[in-house]
Amino acid sequence: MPLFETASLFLVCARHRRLPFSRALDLFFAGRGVWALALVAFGTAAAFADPIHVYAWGAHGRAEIGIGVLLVPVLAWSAYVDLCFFHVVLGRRRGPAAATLVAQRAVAWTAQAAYFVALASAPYVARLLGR
Amino acid sequence: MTRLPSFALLVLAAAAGTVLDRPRSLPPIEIGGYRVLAADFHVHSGVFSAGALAPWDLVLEARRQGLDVFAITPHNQVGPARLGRWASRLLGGPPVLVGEEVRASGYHLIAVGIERRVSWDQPAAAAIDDVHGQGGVAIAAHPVAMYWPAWDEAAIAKLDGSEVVHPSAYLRASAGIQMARFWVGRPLTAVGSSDYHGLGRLGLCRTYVFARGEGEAAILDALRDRRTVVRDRDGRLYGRPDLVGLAAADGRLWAREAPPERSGMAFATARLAGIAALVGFVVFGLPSDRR
Repeated sequence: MPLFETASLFLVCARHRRLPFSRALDLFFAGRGVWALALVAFGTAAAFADPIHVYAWGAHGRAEIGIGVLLVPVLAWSAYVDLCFFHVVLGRRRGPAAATLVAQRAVAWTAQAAYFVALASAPYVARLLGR
Repeated sequence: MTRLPSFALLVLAAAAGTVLDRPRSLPPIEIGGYRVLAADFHVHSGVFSAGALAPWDLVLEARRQGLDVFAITPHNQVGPARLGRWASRLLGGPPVLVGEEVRASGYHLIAVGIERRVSWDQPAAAAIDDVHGQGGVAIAAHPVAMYWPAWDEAAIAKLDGSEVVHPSAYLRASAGIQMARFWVGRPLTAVGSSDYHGLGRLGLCRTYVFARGEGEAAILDALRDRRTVVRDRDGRLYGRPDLVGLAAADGRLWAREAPPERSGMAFATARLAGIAALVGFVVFGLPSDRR
């Protein structure tokens, strides 16, 4: 996932010369604190919950939906942090900064989703293709 | 300065956790002339196999959970399992059996004791032939009703065992009933597996293997010969009737199954200290952040 994030940032900032890419990358990942806090919260809950319930978080549709709903504020917060990154650090106006945010997420998340879906779905795709 | 308390808390948590949560040293249990081993034959690692822990971390966690042996069963590959076996030898066990979860579109099959990848792109019976050709054992993974159509008579006749206790049974009672129905009345080895991906607990469901002698060959022989006993959370026992009787009369296995007490005040304090340290690092940053 960090590799996909790095590649996507490179794509949307490739022509930006305001600061070196390595520095931009450092600052971009510094904004991942929101996700780190969410992971700590998840780990805290897992450390104290019944193992059967914890197993269900990854195997039960309703639990996965619940976790997805809980992630909405994290998504919104991290989007705001990234918007600030593109606006303040890279010096883009709000409109282009928002467009860059959308482009970066579209590239990174599509690639990540494709990676995980491809790993999991090969047998099902083969069945659809009649093999 | 603001980072100092986070480091102090992290050191405190690591030290307390290390002292309080040391793996139990459990002597082997002998019942009825058999060496009885606690095993988990369905475990995923973190290298391309949808798991959270690296193969070497699984070895340490299996030791922590009191397992005598376990199989790493990556989806449609064996590489991480071989890595785990190497790590186990380096770390002093518990032994890792190389396995694979053959994840086909209609069935999931656990192959244990293999060396090469078994292709998912073939009928279940052919996959089992491949497992047997490598000297391995074939176990139907969580065979709930949706997988039954792929388990035709030819495949079932070749199967060595089936998972009859699996965490999904604790989430949906119907899953437990279906797995039991698949196993009952067939000459299949009863297997209990945690299907551990990182959530829950490794060894949450386990298989007691009644081995004659030591080593991987003795374990695989026991699996072929249906020498296992499995116990679900409600105390129901599955396995060869004579061994179920032996295990029930002995009783030591269930006492050993209970995880060590990890809910005391000291454990809670150590965990909370570690969590506070992580939050501190996120909020105040690491030293490399300040440039």
